[in-house]
Amino acid sequence: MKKPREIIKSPDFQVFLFLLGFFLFGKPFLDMITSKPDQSSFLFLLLTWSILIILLFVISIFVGEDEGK
Amino acid sequence: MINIWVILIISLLYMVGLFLIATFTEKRNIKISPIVYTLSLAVYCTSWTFYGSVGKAATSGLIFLTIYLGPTLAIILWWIILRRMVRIKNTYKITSLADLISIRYDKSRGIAVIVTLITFAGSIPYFAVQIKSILSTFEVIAKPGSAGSFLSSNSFGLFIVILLILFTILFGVRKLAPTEHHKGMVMMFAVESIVKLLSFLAVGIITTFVFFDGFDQIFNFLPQESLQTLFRVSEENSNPYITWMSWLFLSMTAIQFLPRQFHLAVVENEDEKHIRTAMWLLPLYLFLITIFVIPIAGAGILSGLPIEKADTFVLDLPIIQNNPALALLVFIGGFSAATSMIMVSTMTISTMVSNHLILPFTKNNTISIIIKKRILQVRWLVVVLVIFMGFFFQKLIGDSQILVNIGIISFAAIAQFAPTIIGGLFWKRGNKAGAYLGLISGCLIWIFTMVYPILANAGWLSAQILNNGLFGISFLKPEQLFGFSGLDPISHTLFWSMFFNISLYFLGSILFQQNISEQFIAEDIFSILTSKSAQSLSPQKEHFLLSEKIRVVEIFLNEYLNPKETKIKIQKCLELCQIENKKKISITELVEFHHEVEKVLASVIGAAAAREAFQNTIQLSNSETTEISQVYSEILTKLKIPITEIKRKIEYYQEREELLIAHGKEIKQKSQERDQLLKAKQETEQALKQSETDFIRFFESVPIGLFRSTPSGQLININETFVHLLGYANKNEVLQTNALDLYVNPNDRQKWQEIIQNLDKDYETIVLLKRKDGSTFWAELKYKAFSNLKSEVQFYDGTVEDISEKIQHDKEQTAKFEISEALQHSETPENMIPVFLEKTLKLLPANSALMSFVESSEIDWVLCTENAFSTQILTTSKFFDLRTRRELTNINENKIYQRNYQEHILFDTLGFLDVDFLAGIPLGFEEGKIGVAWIGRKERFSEDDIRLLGIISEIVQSNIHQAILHKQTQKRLENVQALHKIDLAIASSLDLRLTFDVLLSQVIEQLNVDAADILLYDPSIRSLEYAAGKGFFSDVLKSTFINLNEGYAGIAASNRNIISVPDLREDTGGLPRDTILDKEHFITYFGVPLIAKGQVQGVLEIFNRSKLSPDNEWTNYLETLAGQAAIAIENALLFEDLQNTNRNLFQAYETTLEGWARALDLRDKETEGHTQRVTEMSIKLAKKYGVSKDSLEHIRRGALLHDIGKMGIPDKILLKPGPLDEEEWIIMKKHPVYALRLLAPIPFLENALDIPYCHHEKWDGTGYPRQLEGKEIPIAARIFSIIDVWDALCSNRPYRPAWTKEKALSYISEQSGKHFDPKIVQAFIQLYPEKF
Repeated sequence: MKKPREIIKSPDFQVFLFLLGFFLFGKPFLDMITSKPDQSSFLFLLLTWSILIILLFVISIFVGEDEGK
Repeated sequence: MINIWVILIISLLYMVGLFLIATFTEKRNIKISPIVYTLSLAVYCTSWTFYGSVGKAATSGLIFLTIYLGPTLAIILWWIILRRMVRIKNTYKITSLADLISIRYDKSRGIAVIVTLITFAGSIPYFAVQIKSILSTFEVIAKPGSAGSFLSSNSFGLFIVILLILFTILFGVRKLAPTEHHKGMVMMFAVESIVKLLSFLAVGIITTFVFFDGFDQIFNFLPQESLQTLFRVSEENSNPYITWMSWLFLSMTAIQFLPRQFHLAVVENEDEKHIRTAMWLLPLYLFLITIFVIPIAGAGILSGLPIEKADTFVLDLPIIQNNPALALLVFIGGFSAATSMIMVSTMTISTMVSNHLILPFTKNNTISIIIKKRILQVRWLVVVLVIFMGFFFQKLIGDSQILVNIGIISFAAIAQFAPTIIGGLFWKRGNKAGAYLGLISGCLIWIFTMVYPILANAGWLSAQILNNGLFGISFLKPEQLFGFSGLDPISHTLFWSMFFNISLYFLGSILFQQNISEQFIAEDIFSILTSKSAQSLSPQKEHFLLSEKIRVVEIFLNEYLNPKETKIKIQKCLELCQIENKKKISITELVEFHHEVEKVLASVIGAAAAREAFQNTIQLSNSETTEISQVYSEILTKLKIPITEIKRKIEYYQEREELLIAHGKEIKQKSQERDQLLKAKQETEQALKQSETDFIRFFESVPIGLFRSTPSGQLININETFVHLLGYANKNEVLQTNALDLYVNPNDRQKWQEIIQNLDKDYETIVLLKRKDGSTFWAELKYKAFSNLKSEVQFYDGTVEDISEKIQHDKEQTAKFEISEALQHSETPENMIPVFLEKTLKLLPANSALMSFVESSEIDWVLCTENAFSTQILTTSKFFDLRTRRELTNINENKIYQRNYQEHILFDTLGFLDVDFLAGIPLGFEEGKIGVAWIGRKERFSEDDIRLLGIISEIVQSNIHQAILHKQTQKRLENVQALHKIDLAIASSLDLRLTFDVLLSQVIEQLNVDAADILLYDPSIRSLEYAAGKGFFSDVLKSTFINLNEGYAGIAASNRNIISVPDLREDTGGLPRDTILDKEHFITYFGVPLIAKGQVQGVLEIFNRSKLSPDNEWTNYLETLAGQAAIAIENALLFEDLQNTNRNLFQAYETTLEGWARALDLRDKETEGHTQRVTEMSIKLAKKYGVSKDSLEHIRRGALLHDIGKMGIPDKILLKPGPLDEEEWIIMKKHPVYALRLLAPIPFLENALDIPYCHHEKWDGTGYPRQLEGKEIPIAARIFSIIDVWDALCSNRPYRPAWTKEKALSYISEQSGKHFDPKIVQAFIQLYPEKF
């Protein structure tokens, strides 16, 4: 089994994250979690966005580390 | 409100500050950090974002977030997509988005043009928005009238435009090479991004927490309707889902494919690692810059600001809160957002326009030359043009609602690049045709469904198509394409444009084939991420144990080399790789080591075989292969060579390789040809060398002297034979000699001069040359002249051949011929000698010649002397005394005498007075020496002269010998003829006198004597008696009667030896006939006994009146003649005896026959005398009838014996008195048969049988015993029958008396033709009267 590090820096994970983000930022999903327009959807978006930024930060740490050696 | 001048100054200072930062960055070459790089990317947040987000949020809710969420989602894939584009940029040195797409699709200029046009078209409105925002916010913030009429909105706009142009050129278009990094500009954008963010955060924080009491206050105080508006995700009249997703998609594409974003993210990327920072920092930036959008929008609404002007809430809020500093900060922030966007966009567009629109279409004319030289200025012009177009466009649209959505419209335009770029990066089959189709179709759909409706709705274009559809087809209405409704315009456009774009791109790529270069680029781009992206070769780890690698190679090489060689070769390889002192090596060193080893092996077994053997044996492990692949990738990346360049180089190297291979083949072929030529040349050279060697060998060893000389006779080159011919030790000696000096005869030298003067090209001559030792030889010289262009003889090549032998041979042959011809006319040896001497004098030549003969010769010498006038020949006998003669003939071999050195009698005598040299040549043959020929002359006799003399003497000897033999042969022939005559005489006559006469004549003639006689020996009285003689003067010798042992003849007969008395005068020994012979004057006497069959028959005496010196032949001939005489005598005596015997025998026969006849007569008494009578009468009749004389004797004998057969008839019948009865007659008639039986055995009587056997036959055939008829009866019998009947009739018989002759004759006549032959009867009748 691959290590989390290897998984994170793999292109597949990035594609997965992109699809996940696309899904999470997708309007159908937003409607699904928020029946009416209120702050929650905005917060959800901000939260998700923040998580993505964090994940991107983690990814940025690992990707290309082999090439740097 | 703020004073305009303050705004202007601050703005100007801000810009100057940015300029200084940029300049400082570039001057100091400050490295662009990942954060700077990331912040520069925040140029994405333009004034439209800065101001429009709040406005969008206020009117449409959270939809604005898609502008930032989309990029965040896109950034997740940046390590895959952006890094790939950066690599492509690094590889292909691309300068813009158009470049990227163009290069991917086979460097299609058309695609670049389309991309540039789309970008240009999509950017101008965007610029207009940015300029509009600046001007709008300036109007908002500026205190009206604070700057007078000069600084009106238009003037400020132009000022801003100029400022933008200036700074754009200063920051972004200062360098010609767009690929060069604009560090200053990037730094400036980063600063602007910070200013932009800080200002926005400042307004957000201050608004939220200063103007209001935080988020709760804002959201709690907001009306529910406004709150729902703020938190809804789309406009009310559109499909919220589609709109949300459309915007999300558009922003995703925008963050990557907007020209400015592409430029800063890709072109300005110095290190792809910066992407890693950008991946999290840019989303964070976007997050931060949007986090206060909703609060600000809510605060604006709460503050009572008109919702229509929500775009300026950010600026209005500080103003209404009377916070000019914050307002100014916001303005600066917005200003930064706008200017940064304009500058970077303008810069990229100017590059694209100049590179893809202007330069490609200016070819081969003056303008193009100017443009190519002024590309930078052209770009400046484009910058000016673009910014001014943006400015005028914002003036044109004014306050139109279009401006609100202008950003997203641009996004939609840029989104058309997405399928082409993404497909190009990740789908290898995506090709140029698909790109064309996708881009064009997407662009057209974008124009038809988005641009046209906006312009039509704005009233700038006819709305007919908008209302009725294209060509009046409602199905083709721009906003409801194919009857598709219910979508907002953006989503509608995005859907159809992407539908056609992606579909046609896919179809085009499927239906059309990529060319090879496109395939190569696609393959390269597709795999570009698999290579390492290090900017420099990483230090390679040395982890391969060298000893282990050496061991493997050693085992491998030992298969081909001996261990010692292997170690040496490996050591050389290690030294070449400079790893001989290492324990561990890196992968590259390992590969280099293998490469050197392979080269070593190639030198042994050839490159191909070495390669195959190496690949089969020395293989890299997987890890080694991977490592070396990475190294190669790193090297390629490090080289930063665009993929096109690599491709070009690969193609170049492939072509070069092909060319090299072809060239190699050609070289190989030429090499082979050259090798063949070289081989042929070597063979030719070798052949030439061999030929030269052969020629030199031939030149030196050819038995003919070869030379080259100048016309003056100076020898240039000669061969060894030439040296040997002339008797010199070496070539140098000869070469120092002038050829003319070698000539003996001065005339030959003169001839040579004539040859040169006449420029004869070829010449042959025979000259006498002089050897070093002074000896001479005859040489045949052949010259060939070689001339220069002026026809001047340069040199002569010639041959020298020693023809002395040939000359001598010719001379000898001539001598032989002449001497033979001369001697031909001389039959006797005596005649030959003078001829021989005369010719010898001429042939040698010589002055005097003398032939001295041996003692036995009749002549003494023959002298031949020659002077200037004649040749004198003197033949003399008995000149020299015996001693001198013996001395002159007493040499048995050729001998040379020289005056004053060897004394000789001939010097100073005879004709030899004037000679200094004397040659003696003995002449003779088997039978003995003839004599010695003496030749004298002034000059020395050479060997050739001696040899010539020998040849001449041999010929003379041969001729003399032949002459002598001829003479002897003639003599013998005469002797034989004489003997033949004697033989004839002996054979033809038994008369001894005649035989002796012939014999004596031949004796005298052949023996050349004067007289001869023959004395016959009578053994009874043992004495010799004269038989015949000849040549005597008198007949007194006829009475010679000599007893045996008396005189010479008696002694000769007695001793049976020849008695020779050479001189009778000196001999007084008891010859009884001396006195007689004295009268004959005989001197020489020979007495030869005549002996035949051992019996002395007599003596042949020879007399000569001169002295005889008989040789053996004479003596032998004498004996032969004596033998002949003896034979003649013996024959004569034998013949005489034989005659006597025959005679006696014949007499005896005849007597016997007659006796038998008388006996018959006596028995038959009545026929007494009858036989004798009928015999005689028969002979007569036979003669009469003409019978030959020889037959008469047989008739006589037959007649005598005609009734011999009656001896077999009994007496009672024979003597019966009466007639015989029939039986008795039968017996009587048998007597002829009895006669035959009795006489036939006697040969003597063989021819006499006809009468006894046939005399009773009758002419008519009625006789007996054989009843012969006519001429069948032998003639003797027919004759005898008539005589027998006649005698019987005429004789008395007991039974009758004798008939008369007439009656008998009548009867005979009557019986003619019956009993007798009529012709014989006729003869009988004719004979009757005479004989009977």
